[in-house]
Amino acid sequence: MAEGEFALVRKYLEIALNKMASWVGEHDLYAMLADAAAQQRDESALQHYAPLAEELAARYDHKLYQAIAHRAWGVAHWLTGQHTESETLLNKALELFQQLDTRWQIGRTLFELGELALSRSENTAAHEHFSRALDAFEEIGALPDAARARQKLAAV
Amino acid sequence: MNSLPTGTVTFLFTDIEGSTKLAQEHPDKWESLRERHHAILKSAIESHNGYIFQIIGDAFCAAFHTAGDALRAAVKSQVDLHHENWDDAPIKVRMGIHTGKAEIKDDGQYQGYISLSRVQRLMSAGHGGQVLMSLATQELVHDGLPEGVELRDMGEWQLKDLIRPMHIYQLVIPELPADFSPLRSTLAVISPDDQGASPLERIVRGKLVGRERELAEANLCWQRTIAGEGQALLISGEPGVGKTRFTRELLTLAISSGAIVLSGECYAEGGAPYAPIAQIIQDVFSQFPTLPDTLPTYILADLIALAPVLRARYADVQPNPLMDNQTEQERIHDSLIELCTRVSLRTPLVLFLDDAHWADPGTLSLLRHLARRSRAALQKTRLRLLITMTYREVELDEARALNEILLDLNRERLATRIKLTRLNKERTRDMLTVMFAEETTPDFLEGIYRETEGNPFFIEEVCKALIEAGKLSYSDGRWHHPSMDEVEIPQSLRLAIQTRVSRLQTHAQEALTLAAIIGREFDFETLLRSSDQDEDRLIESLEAAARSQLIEEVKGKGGEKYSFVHALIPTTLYEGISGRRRRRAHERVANAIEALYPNDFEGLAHHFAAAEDAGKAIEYSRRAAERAESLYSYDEAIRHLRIALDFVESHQPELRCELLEQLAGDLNVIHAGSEAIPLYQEAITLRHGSDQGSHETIRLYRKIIEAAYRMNRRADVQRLEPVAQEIKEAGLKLVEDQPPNAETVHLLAAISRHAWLNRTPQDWDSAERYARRAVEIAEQLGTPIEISDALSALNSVYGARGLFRERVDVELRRLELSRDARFTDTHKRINILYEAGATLVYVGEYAKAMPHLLEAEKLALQIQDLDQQLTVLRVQAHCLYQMDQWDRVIKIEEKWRALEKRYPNFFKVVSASCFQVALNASVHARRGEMEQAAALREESRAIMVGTDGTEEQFARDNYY
Repeated sequence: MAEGEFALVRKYLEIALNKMASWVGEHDLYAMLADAAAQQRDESALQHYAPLAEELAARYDHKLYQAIAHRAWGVAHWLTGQHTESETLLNKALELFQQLDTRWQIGRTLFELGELALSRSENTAAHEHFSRALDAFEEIGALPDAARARQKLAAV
Repeated sequence: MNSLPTGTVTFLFTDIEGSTKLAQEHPDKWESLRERHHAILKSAIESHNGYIFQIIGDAFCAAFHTAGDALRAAVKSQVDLHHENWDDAPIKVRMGIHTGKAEIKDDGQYQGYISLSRVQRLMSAGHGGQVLMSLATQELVHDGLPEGVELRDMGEWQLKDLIRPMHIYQLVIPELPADFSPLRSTLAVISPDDQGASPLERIVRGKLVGRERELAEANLCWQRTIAGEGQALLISGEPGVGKTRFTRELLTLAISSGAIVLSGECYAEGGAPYAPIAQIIQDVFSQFPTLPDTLPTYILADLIALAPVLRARYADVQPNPLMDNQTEQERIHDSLIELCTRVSLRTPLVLFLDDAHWADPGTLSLLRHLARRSRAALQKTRLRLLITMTYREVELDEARALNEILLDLNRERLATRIKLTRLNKERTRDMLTVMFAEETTPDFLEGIYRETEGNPFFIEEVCKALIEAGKLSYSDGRWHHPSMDEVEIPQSLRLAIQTRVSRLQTHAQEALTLAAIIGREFDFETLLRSSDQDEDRLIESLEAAARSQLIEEVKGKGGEKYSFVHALIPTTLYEGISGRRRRRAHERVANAIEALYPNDFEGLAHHFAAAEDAGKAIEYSRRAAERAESLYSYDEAIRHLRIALDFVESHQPELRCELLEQLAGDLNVIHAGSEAIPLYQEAITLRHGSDQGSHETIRLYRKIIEAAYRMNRRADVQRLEPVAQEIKEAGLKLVEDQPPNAETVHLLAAISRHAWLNRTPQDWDSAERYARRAVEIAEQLGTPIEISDALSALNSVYGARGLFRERVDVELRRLELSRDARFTDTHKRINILYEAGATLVYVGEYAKAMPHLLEAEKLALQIQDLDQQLTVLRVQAHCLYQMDQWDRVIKIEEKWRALEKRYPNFFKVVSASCFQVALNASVHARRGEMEQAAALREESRAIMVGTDGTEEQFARDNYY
């Protein structure tokens, strides 16, 4: 997603925050804002939205959003060089996604783990994560993500 | 010569006489009769090189390269139809043949308004079994007639809505009937030599003069309609200015371009709710007899509810299950829209509502709905629908419902308005010239114009009054105008009408006056039963009135029906009757209707009220109100109940209480709580003075509280807050010492909701206290409906306090309760299933939510509640999306698309689809199907922004 598109997503979601339909909660929106910020590697947005997403997901005991919040924090820590914290949180997210059996989310979290391993020059671990991510993406038919995973595997 | 003829074309138009009546009398045979009729016509036309370019219901429109072929096709058809064995349901077909210019347009339709409208009018003037031919065709065929066939010269006739008279011939076919009644809906152009014609018969009426500009505007509107841009056309003006006449011209234009015109009439004396719509539905069913079979049963059931006369024909169609008022009203409206959409897909459609200032609010609201939908549908369906309404500007102050709807249509730019003004002097001269078929004198023009100020109906009535008074006479082949200084011209239109009626014999005047009591349209039987005159005398009276052009027979409505030629005539006669005499006349009419049409509750309520028969006025007004409520026409119900209340006497407190509660209930439904509350209060006061138990009073307290939190206007909420508080305190005090009972539970639940609904700040502590008390009492009672209501109040508190897990538990408990046999309301059960699913979704329990949502969908499908079906599908899609089950998300789209295909104009489909389509766009994007994703995303945006939505709404609903 390009920078401009993320800005657009943020714009829409922030409008949505003010005009929520009855069946859309703020926890839905903050989870998505945090997730979008993680995808964009937008550190300041992550610092803003990840805590809110985490708090609301915990309040509602919403497992999916808790996992998304963990992943968002994992990316935030990675961006600030806190690799150990990042790995812990990404693994927590992965565990929750696996419990929920949400394949695309599993693939995306494995991909982030691969990125983290790459940045720590742990190529074997990175290869392992990207391979598993590729399997998850292929299983669900997420072709763009699968292509990205293949690219990474080739680079590793 | 198989191609569609163009240039000089001979048209043959046909129509079955009395097809509506035949279809009603022989419902089992009708389809087979039609098929045989169609086969005969098709064979005769095609075997003579004819081209059938349109079949509208039972009417065939065929074009021929030569007049001889058209003639032979007509002869062959009539012979075959005559010899066919129809048993007790003979099919008689009238036919018209005319030759004129016509070209084929790009869309394959004929362009040649004059030729097409002439053949249409010619055919309409005939009777079953008769073939009429224009002079133009006669000149082409008279030398080559088939053996034995002759042409009978019928003379010149002024056909309805045609400017110039037509010379007409009738085909005389060997061994077939050749003598028919006088041509229909026509005025013979009286030859100057015809000594038998009366002067009144000599004047040419009904021609449109001086409206070229307005007609061009209306035509433009029609052209846009047939291009697929649904329109509403509003024609206004003062009484007598010629609105109906003008509209007929437009309708002729529409018919000539292949449109179906469906008319609904409104009368000053009122009628059943949606009566004009019922007429329209009946018309559609009669013109498209196979169409009802293609409709889903629940749509058919709604249409029958609007037109109860169809009930007997579709006895096996069960009424739809009851749901909440708003949903059901919307569904009924949508069912009519679906019907119109289906007709307009076959042929352009005009819905015409004459005298809309007298229309009931339900009918008007439905037409507004239709106008909105036809515009909204532009994105998807090219709806060829023109809604045309005429109304009096001067009545607008009193016609509140119409006024509101006009404002809406204008604000939303859904309508074109044409205001007809009086004729200027030059146009008045044109009108007089046309009427008398000769130039008028300046003196006569001056006098007529001075007194009538160019009101066309006034002009016509004054001229007739002068003729009847012998002041304007015809002799030696010309008109003799009086000197305007010598004649007394009636000073007003009403006086002109009175003058003309007074020239009739006394018995005819009496009959007309009694007819005016019945209304603008009246039937012979009711008049006969109400009148002192015997049948022969009454017939004589009506014939005299018809000769004086005050009334006319109405064709095609079953039975012998008559109508005053203008609404001002009965109004004038009515106003001229003294109070006592008027009451007596209403009583006689009411008794006649009661004997003849005991289910005409609205008519009986009207006449018994006018007769001041309190008992029957109350009885029938209540029945009329109940019927209106059953059709969700609450304004009508309110009107009837107010009339009933006016007749209740002081010694009937119990009856007054019942009526007050019923009336307040209806006001509450239309969010007029501020009017409902004083009525409930009055009922409470009356109950205090009676021996009634406290449960009724508790119920009334609860209804006041509910009315208070349902009010729409902030100012009303604030103004009535002290009343609501007072009632709350009184109610709480009353229930303090009561043993547990259902009314107490509902009152406490209502008080709980009142603590937060419509309030700033919201008092959640009180809301929780009363909800918990309600739950406690309900649990003691152990009745599922009460426990569910109390829990629902408590759940709102949990939601506000962020106790979402607790909310889930409560919803699951309500779900369990709803499985009790005493819980009979399926709609409520679906709602509880949906709530259970939605609350689970809220906390991310998607897998647990799905079974409830699937059950809700199944039930919604069973009771055909499209709205709930779509709502549930939307949440299902959300669930599956969150669970990364993309294939199932796409499957839900397939379900939704199927619904859209069946109901293309269902607004809720549009609204829900915006979310649904956006969700699917996201799934396709995740799969890398970018073109599909982009297309779906654009579709979603177009749906929302293109209907009534905004970019902001689009953003809100499409954050995916």
